[in-house]
Formats: sequence, C-alpha cells, structure tokens
Amino acid sequence: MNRQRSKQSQFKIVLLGESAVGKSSVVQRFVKNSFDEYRESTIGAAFLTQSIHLSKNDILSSGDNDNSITTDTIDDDGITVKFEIWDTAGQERYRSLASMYYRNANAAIIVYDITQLESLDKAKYWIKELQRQANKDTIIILTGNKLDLNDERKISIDDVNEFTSIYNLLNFEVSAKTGENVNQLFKDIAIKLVIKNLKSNNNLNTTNKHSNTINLNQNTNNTTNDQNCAC
Amino acid sequence: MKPRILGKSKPVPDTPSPSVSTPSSTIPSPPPQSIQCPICNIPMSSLIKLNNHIDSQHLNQRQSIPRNHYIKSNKCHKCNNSSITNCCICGLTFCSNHINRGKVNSLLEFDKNGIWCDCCIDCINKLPNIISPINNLTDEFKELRNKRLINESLKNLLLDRRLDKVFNWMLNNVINEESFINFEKSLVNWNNQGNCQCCLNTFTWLNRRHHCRICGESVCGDLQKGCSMIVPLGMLFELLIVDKDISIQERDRIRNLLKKDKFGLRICKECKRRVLNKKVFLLDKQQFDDEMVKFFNIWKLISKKLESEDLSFIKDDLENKLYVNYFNKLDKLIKDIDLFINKGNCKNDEIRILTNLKNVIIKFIKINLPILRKSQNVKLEKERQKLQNIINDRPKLSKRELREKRDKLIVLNEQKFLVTEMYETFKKQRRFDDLKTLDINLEDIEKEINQLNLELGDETFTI
Ligand SMILES: Nc1nc2c(ncn2[C@@H]2O[C@H](COP(=O)(O)OP(=O)(O)OP(=O)(O)O)[C@@H](O)[C@H]2O)c(=O)[nH]1
Ligand SMILES: [Mg+2]
Ligand SMILES: [Zn+2]
Ligand SMILES: [Zn+2]
Ligand SMILES: [Zn+2]
Ligand SMILES: [Zn+2]
Ligand SMILES: [Zn+2]
Repeated sequence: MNRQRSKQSQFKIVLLGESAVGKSSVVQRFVKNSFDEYRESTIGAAFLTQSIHLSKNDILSSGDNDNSITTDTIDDDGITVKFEIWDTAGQERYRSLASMYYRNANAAIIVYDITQLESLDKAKYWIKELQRQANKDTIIILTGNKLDLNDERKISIDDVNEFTSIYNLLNFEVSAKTGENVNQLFKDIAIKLVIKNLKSNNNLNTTNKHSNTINLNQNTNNTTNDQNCAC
Repeated sequence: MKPRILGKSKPVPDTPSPSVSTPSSTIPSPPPQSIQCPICNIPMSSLIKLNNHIDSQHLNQRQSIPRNHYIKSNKCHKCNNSSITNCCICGLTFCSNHINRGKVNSLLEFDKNGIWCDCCIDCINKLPNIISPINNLTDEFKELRNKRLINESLKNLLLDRRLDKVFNWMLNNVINEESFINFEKSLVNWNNQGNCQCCLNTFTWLNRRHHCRICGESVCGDLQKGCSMIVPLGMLFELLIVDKDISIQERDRIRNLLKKDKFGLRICKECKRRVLNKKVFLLDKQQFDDEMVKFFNIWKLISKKLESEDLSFIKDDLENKLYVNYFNKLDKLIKDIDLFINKGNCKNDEIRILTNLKNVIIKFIKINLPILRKSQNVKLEKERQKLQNIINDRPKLSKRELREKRDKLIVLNEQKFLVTEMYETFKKQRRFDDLKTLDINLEDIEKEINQLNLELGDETFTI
C-alpha cells in the first residue's frame, strides 16, 4: 500500500514575488519549456500543472535522505510527481489574493530578479508574511531569476545566503530565458516533498505495526481491486 | 376513493312494494288478483278495462241519484270544520272525518247494486243492517301481500346466493379465460324465451338477446337503455367485500388479480335493484365513514396541538414554521373536505356533517390565525431591531480600510471570473482532475467575497 501511494504524488506550489521578476516565465519554462521575450503581466492568479518523474536513485541519493528511506520503500519504477502551480500576479493591487493560494501550498517559490535590488526587498516581505501566516509545513524556496543577465547583477549570492541561512530556506538561481537550473529547481522541490511524505508515512506505518488493529485500508484496497472494471 | 358504481344509490327497502298500488280510500278495493266491477261484479281483466266499463255502463246511474235535498253549507254538520261534501242520503255537509262511502240507489237507499256515493257516518250507522258498505278485505289483502313478499325475498335470497358464489369463485379459483367462461355459464340456466324482462321489447337482429348472469333472464344489451350492463369483476369484487370479513392480504391479492378488468359479468337492471344497490349503499357508507373518520382525526390532532401551544409568543423560527405548518394543514383539510363534498357522492345528511366540521375548522382558524399573525409581527420587529443594533454596533471602517476592502472585493470578483473561465476550458479539455482544484478555489473565493460583503455591509458601493 505504501508503495502504491508513493508511486504518484500531487503537490501544490505557489509563486510569489515582485512584478516582472519572471515568475510566469519560470513557470512557462518548466511547463512548456519555452520563453517569451515580451509577455503580459499576470492578472490575478494563473493555474498550471506539470508532472515530473523521479527515479529511485534520485530519491535515495538525495542529500535530504537521512537513511530512514531504504531501497524497498520505493517502487523500482520511481515516483511520478504532479505539481499544481498557482502563478500569482506581482502587481500591488493583487497582493491581497496571495494568501488564498499560499495558505495550504506544499511549497512556495519566492522569486526575485538578480538585476533589481528592490525585488529582493519584496521577496523578504513575502518570506516574513509566509513565516507568519502560512502553514508551518510549507517549504519556502528563495529563487533569483534572470541568471543570464549576470553582467547586470545587483544582488550577489552571498547577500542572499546570509538571509536564507537565518530563515533556513532553500536557495536557487535560475534563468527562465536560457532554462538554466529551472528543471533542477522543480526536481529538488519534488524530491524534498516526496521524502517528507515518505517519512511521515513511515511514522504512520510504525505506529500501525505497534497497535493490534487490523488494517482496514488493506482490505478495502483489495476489494476495490476486485471490482475494478476492465475498461 | 372508488368511483360510484352503477349510478346513484338510494336506500333499498328490503320489502319490495307490490306492483299494484294499495287502495287509497277507507274501503279497500278488491285485491289485484280479482278485479271486478264494484257495481255489477263482472270480472275485469285490467284496471283500464274497469275504468272504461264504469264510464260506459254506470255513469248514467249517477245522475239518477237526486240531489235536490242537498243543503248548502260550508261547515261540517258534526264538528264545524269547513267542508263542502254533502251526504247523499241526509243532504247535510260533512268534513272528510265524518263522511264515508256507501252504495246507494236512486231511492236514496243503501243498495248492493247501487253506486258509490258519499254518505255521512250517521246515516251509515243508522242503517247498518240493510247493507254494510264496508267490505273489509284487509286480511285477505295482507295475506296475499305476505305471500308475494315471501316470494320476493326468496328470490332476492337466491340472487344473493349467486353473488356469494361469484365471490367465492374469485377467492378460490385461478382466474383465466377458460375458467371464467365455464363459471359464468354454471351460475344459472339462461332463459331463451320471451322479451326483455326490463323494457319488454322484443329481440331482433338489431336488438340482440343477452342474458343476465345472475338471474338468467333475457335482457337487452344496449347501454343507453340500461336494461343490463357488464360489471367488471374488479368493481364487483369491491362491492361484494363490503359485508364480508376478509383479510387485507387476501383482499389485495384478489384486487391485484382483477386489476386489469379483463372479465366482467352482465347484470340486469332488476338484479341490480334487488341485490347490488344494497351493496353500493353499504360501500358508499363505508367510504364516507372512512373519509369522515380521517377528516375528523386530522382535525382533532391539529386542533389539540395548537390549543396546547401558546400562539401569542413565538420562540424561534422553528416554532414559527411549526405553527404555520399546522395552519397550512388545516387549510388543506378544508380543501379536502370541499373536494369530497363536490365529488357529488354524498347524501344530504353526509354533506351536513361535513359542512359542520368545515365550519368549526374555519371558525377555529378565524380566531387563532390573527393571534399567530400578531406574534409573527412582534417577532419580526424584534429581529429587525436586533439587526439594526448589529449594524449600529459595527465599528466604523476607516477610509483607508474601506478602500482596501473594496479593492480586494473587486480583485476577488475578477479572480472569480478568471477561475470560472478556466473551469470551463478545463472541462472542455476533460482535465477532470484539475477541475476539483479549481472548484475548491472557487469556493474559497466565494467565502472571502461573502466575508468582505459582511464587513462592508451597505458601504460596499457608497463613497
Ligand atoms: N533576460 C531575461 N529576461 C527574463 C527572464 N525571465 C523573464 N524575463 C523577462 O521579464 C519580463 C517579465 O516577466 P514575467 O514572467 O511576465 O514576470 P512576472 O513575475 O510574471 O510578472 P507579473 O506577472 O507582473 O508578476 C518579461 O519581459 C520576460 O521576458 C530571464 O530569465 N532572463
Ligand atoms: Mg506573471
Ligand atoms: Zn260494472
Ligand atoms: Zn247522512
Ligand atoms: Zn266533521
Ligand atoms: Zn330491455
Ligand atoms: Zn337479472
């Protein structure tokens, strides 16, 4: 049962950040693997989905794995992760919408533009708001975009590191234009979420083993299998 | 309610009246079996012939009785009641209490061969021995009548027995085409002679001979004439069970069997009068009783409940709903009673009972409904006050807060529109998994919009 559940996982992700830092572009790169030089500013919040596949090795060799996840916890085929992505608008007038989307997100990607100093201030604002308002389980990833414009860089990686270590956040630099690091960003998030899931499942399972209760789920699962239609 | 069967019923006298009407005057005319002229005693074959005979043979004699001794007066000689009938012997006037009839000849004497004249009782008593004008045939008549009655009730009994046979057959047999036809013919031998026993018409190839299955007599089949009709077995069954004790299961079983009305028995008008009307009457009465009891029980139940409540105070919406519901039920009861009356199946006394019940209910409503209305108004006013207080108590929003909240409301409405559009697109693309997520989001948006509306109150659009 554990294996079956871990074969397909679904996570909710929200993108936050100043307008024009390239949130929509990053998502577009991830979902469609394309880039528009001139794209319209987002209205409200857009909804997109994308799935990625994690191999068994991806998970086992991840730095997040503290050896509590062993080779037989995971299916040999690996795990498919589906992301439900809410891409929010960075414009000020839509700020009040954000809470609705980060409230129960599994991960929040906070984007700034490495060439715009003010965009990091906005990113810090979001981090603080999330610390206060969001679910404690929500993983926060601070992401600098437009890595291709390294020449015009105003924000050094060290400035950010200082900040992320205080809040214990993940830290990425990507380019939506070239696609550099974009897939790695989402893959890392996926691995982190999957391992987190497996760990909490593990805990559940061990408590189950200790109690003498019959696992009803096991039974219902079998019966539903019997009743599956052939179509 | 079943439809009324075989026309409107009247209470059926168990004793059929004899076919010739009873004599009306104090002196009974000879019983019908032996009609003869009272003047000359010649036997007559029918009353019409007797009338003709008297007109032609004896009318002249009437003139031969002198009337010149008649005394003009408008008072009875014996009791002063008003009267104008003269005694043909003494000539005085008498009222109907003091006058009788006797046979008198032209010499103003009682005479067996005289003609019937008005005579006062004094004159009759004075001359009792010459000839008693009172030829008392009452006993003879009673005897004849009894014989006839016994015959009639025997016949009815016979017909009743046949109906019972039909009933038992329905209970105990497989009902199919073959068994039905066999049974139908086994009930009574069919009389193939004579005219229609109801309308006396002769049968022709146009007016075919039919047979009543209960009495076996020949009758016309034309429905318009109504000499006979085919009664569906289902209908007949409903009639036959009225005076029988039969379990509900059994009853429903037979009802089911006969539901299709495939078979029916031809029954003549005469048999209907003799044995079926009785049952129709019983059935109607039963149905009326059932319905009446139902109406009355509903009325009792609701009025008792309402009387036990204090209508002058309504605690909450639930209580209000309860009360209103009671009155609605009473209203419906009145309508049901009206409907039942208007079906036209009720007899006068039944209508009177129902109308009385109806009036009692109407009176009850007229007294109690205004009380409820008043307390409803009180409750409404209280709620209005409360709401007003809430509005007054609500903290005034600062101008900035107000603007922010209004802006948020606009943004939320935009987003609602966007997500709804997305929802439609996804539906077309059959992305059913994602529809659920959007659905949840729409709910969230709706919730926030409602919350904002509540906070803004009537300040949503004012500046
Ligand atoms: N050079 C470069 N330009 C980028 C990159 N990502 C985005 N852009 C450009 O930045 C501009 C804004 O990008 P968007 O994706 O619309 O920004 P956004 O954060 O979604 O903005 P809002 O929707 O208003 O919040 C666009 O003109 C993009 O072409 C990048 O990695 N490199
Ligand atoms: Mg955007
Ligand atoms: Zn005569
Ligand atoms: Zn007299
Ligand atoms: Zn008198
Ligand atoms: Zn006839
Ligand atoms: Zn008959």
